Amino acid sequence: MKFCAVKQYFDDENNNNITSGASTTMIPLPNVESHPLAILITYCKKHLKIKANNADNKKETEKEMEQYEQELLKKVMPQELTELILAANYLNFKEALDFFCRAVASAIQNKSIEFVRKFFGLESDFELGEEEKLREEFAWSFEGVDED
Amino acid sequence: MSQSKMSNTSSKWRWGRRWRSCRLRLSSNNNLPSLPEELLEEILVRLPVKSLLRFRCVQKSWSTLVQNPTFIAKHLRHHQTKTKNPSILVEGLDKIEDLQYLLQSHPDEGGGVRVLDFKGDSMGRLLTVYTKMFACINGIICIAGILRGHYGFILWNPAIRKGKIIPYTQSPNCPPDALSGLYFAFGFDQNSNDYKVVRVVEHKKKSAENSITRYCNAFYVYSLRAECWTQIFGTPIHHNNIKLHSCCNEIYFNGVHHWIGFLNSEPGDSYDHHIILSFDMSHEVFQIIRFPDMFFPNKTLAVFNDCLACIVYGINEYIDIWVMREYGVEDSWTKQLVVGHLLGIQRPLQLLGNEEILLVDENQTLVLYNIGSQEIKILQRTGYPKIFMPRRAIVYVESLVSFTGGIVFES
Repeated sequence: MKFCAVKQYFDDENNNNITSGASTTMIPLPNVESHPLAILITYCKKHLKIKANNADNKKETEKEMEQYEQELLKKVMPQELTELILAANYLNFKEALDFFCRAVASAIQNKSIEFVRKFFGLESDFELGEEEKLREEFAWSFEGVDED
Repeated sequence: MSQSKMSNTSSKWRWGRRWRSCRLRLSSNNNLPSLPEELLEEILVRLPVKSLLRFRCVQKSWSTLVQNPTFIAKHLRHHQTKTKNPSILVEGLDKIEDLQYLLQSHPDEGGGVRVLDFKGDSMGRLLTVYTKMFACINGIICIAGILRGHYGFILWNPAIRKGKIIPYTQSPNCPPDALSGLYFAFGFDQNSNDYKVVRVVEHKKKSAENSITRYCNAFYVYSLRAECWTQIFGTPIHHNNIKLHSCCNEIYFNGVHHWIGFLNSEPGDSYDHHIILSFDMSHEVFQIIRFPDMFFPNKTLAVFNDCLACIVYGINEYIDIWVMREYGVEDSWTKQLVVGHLLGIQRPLQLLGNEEILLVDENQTLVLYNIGSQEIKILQRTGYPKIFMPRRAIVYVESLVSFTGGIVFES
């Protein structure tokens, strides 16, 4: 089920017995910017289309979806992924949330600490010497990390 | 929750039961929104162990999260269910040099195989490895070993490169010459969140009158939480004459370990009733499950379709997979499918999911066979030890699980 938040809105409407011209009702989504929303809508439409095309073949659906996701990632800036995750979570769109979380995980997987801090806008809050101790404990995990 | 915003919009929009937590906090460095903790967790849970260990240094809260048992469990569960191509661990023997090896096969790395070295510096000096047992649960590998002349166990997590040694001494009332067998099991008790190791000590007794060999088994369980061994008495198993058959064909399934063995319940009977002896890790009880007679000649236990299964082979180039539809009900053994026609295959090692079988061919090469497509894939020998005999295989998923206390080593 995609866009569960929006569906919930319609369900609530029906429970209230309020007749609404569904096509013209404006649904307020105060916490989603238009740009991520547009991407999510495109993602959703594409997903449904691929599913319809490969009705019985789950593997084909997965394969095509993966190809589409690779293409999509090329067009999206890494910084935009945070916004997309927030939007997908707000709209309760599970597949998109899974996809964008996977994309971020993939993007930061082999990166350095400094890169990750910059990516999420975080700062170190360790005491003097604490961070060094932590680094020493798993020093081998710093091997083979991508250059910044 | 932004109540002030709500007053501006239509009263039809009710947040109700399903409240989206979307706190858009502006971070100090730039104008990008920062993520709330539950969404950050969703990203971190998808990372491999090596990255997570490194990212403990990002911020204090990240370090706390990575060591949190709830997060560790969530991470494990995610990787157990979502990994499409998990790696396979194969334990085996180099017969010439009498060395034990552990191989890891990564399907993503083109089917190559590499040797996993668990004899790290500190451990290599202390331990010679006894090849009687190899098991892996929740990313923890358990191997039986000999430490300073005494038997012991190693619990090792290769992903975090840390482990723990559990020593034990041979039970006092066991004269060495009567000792005829040692069998082990490693399991996880979900009820008490405890890892357990089981040891079965078998003695042979030749009865004077009719020179029939009887086997007596003593059972000991080690609890990681309690850090001690207890002996289990008075089970129905003690009244039966059971000889376990340790030929790398046992399986751990649903919190229960299953060995294959022989039952001799009547005096004068020969040991030819094949049975499964199971041990429930949570309730610490044994159960005997019989095999139908047609499971002949060779058997290996496996899991298929979330049921206990048995791979039967040895007569021809086909392999039968039987499934116990209802666990514990002996009548429910059903022949699920026949795999074949397989030439040049010596024996099956393990079922991987419901689609593939890992086999060993005549040259001791590992072969992956896809049941549906009938495709055969040979796992590459790069990194293979020269003369290597594969014995056990399991699916391996990385985890962050670690142990404290006792003798801890790093590899």
